[in-house]
Amino acid sequence: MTLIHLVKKELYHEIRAKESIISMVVFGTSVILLFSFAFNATPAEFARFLPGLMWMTFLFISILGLLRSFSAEKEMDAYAALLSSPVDRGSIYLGKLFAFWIFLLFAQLFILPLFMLFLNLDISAYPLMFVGLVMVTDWAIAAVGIMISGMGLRTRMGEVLVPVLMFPLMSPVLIAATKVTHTIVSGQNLSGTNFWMMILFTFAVVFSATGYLTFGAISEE
Amino acid sequence: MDYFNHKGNVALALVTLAMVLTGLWLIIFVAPLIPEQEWAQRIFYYHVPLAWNAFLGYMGVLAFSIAYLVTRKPKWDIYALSAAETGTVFCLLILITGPIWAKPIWGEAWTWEPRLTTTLILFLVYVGYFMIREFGGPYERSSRYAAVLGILAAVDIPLIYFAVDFWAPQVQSHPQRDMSAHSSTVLKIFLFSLFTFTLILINMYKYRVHVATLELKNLEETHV
Amino acid sequence: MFKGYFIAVIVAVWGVLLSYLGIVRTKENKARRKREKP
Repeated sequence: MTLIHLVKKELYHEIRAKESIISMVVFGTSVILLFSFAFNATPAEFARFLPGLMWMTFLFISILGLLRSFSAEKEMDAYAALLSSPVDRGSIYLGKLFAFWIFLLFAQLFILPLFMLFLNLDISAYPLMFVGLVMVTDWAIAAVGIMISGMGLRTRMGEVLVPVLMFPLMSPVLIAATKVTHTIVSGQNLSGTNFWMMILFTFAVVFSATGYLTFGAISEE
Repeated sequence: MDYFNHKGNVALALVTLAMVLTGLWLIIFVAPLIPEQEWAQRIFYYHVPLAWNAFLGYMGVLAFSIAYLVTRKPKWDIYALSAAETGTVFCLLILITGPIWAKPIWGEAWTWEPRLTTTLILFLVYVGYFMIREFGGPYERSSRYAAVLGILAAVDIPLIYFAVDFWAPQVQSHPQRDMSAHSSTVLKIFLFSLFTFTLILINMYKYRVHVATLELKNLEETHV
Repeated sequence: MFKGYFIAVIVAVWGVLLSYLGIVRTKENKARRKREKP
């Protein structure tokens, strides 16, 4: 019951403040434009790098969004208020995770069409698989991200620490997501992607569990 | 040094020193000289034990971090910190010896070979671990955060390894091939070297624990 | 053949290990000096 309330609280805050989603969409769009100018390549040449660029873009905008995911708590020290309520720490983590997952998906809803328009992203071969991939990868990003930003929140150099900590930890996710996207975009047989999807699922599950168990230690006063 | 007041530590250090010297003698005079690779192949007797023991160190970080989060006793945090530092020194050495080994064998110093790439990622993760200890604020908090990160890092290791391994299937390295070609002597010297580096790790770890305990005592006394 | 590379590895490994020991030793001295000051 409380989990739903926690998620709702996050969603209401976002709908009011619109911080996370707007920053993510705007930054994502800028990145796409910069890629187009910087590489100046033909569509065929670009196709090789598109999966990697796309996921790097999503990783970058996630950092941005994550830095904002605790902004409500920073102001007026609402954090202390949240912690003093009889809510299980793990649920706070899951609530923020689920909410951020939704924000990221929502932002991608705006950014993916831009990838298709400007950089010729073509998922027509396996559209459902692509959606599934995005959902699982976003969850993996959120699972680690909420933990790391929870720590970065009260740390000197928090904004620097979040990307520094996240990027190496997320490398398996980046590799796996890029490999699957590449298969989808080039229309090849999907059988090779089982291994990568396994990596993504394992990552998502293991880190969600770890986050649930350790968020208490992260959020203590 | 205070550390050597304890007889056990002196004995351990002397045994380790003896093994290091013996090991070097074995590698230089006893190990078979493999055709085509010759002296470069002998790097394997240092490079691979470093890798196995770095992994041992990081498993220690995992265990000690969990213990610290559960019990909140500072000694576990000291063990975790010491294991992380010594493990990362070994990690750095893998990244240094790897390219030196690769250059004569493969022609290029860095070939994005899966194991070395995994080690590089791991090294970056643990640099983050030390950054959070440095910038994480008061000891009560930074030690907790470090423990969480220590757990995240260790849990990530197999995922990083499998992802990187399948990411670059065309780049293979076979230290095992050399082992089977001249099995007995090579294997024995390798195991000797492996054990020697484990002792080196333990010595470094114990000394670091000794000093960290002192540092923590200072910290606690200034706060009282 | 390749003797140079082998020597480089030995020197690098012991160089780094002894440097680390030196760093820890410096930390120890710093910690001891702090304890002597009242």
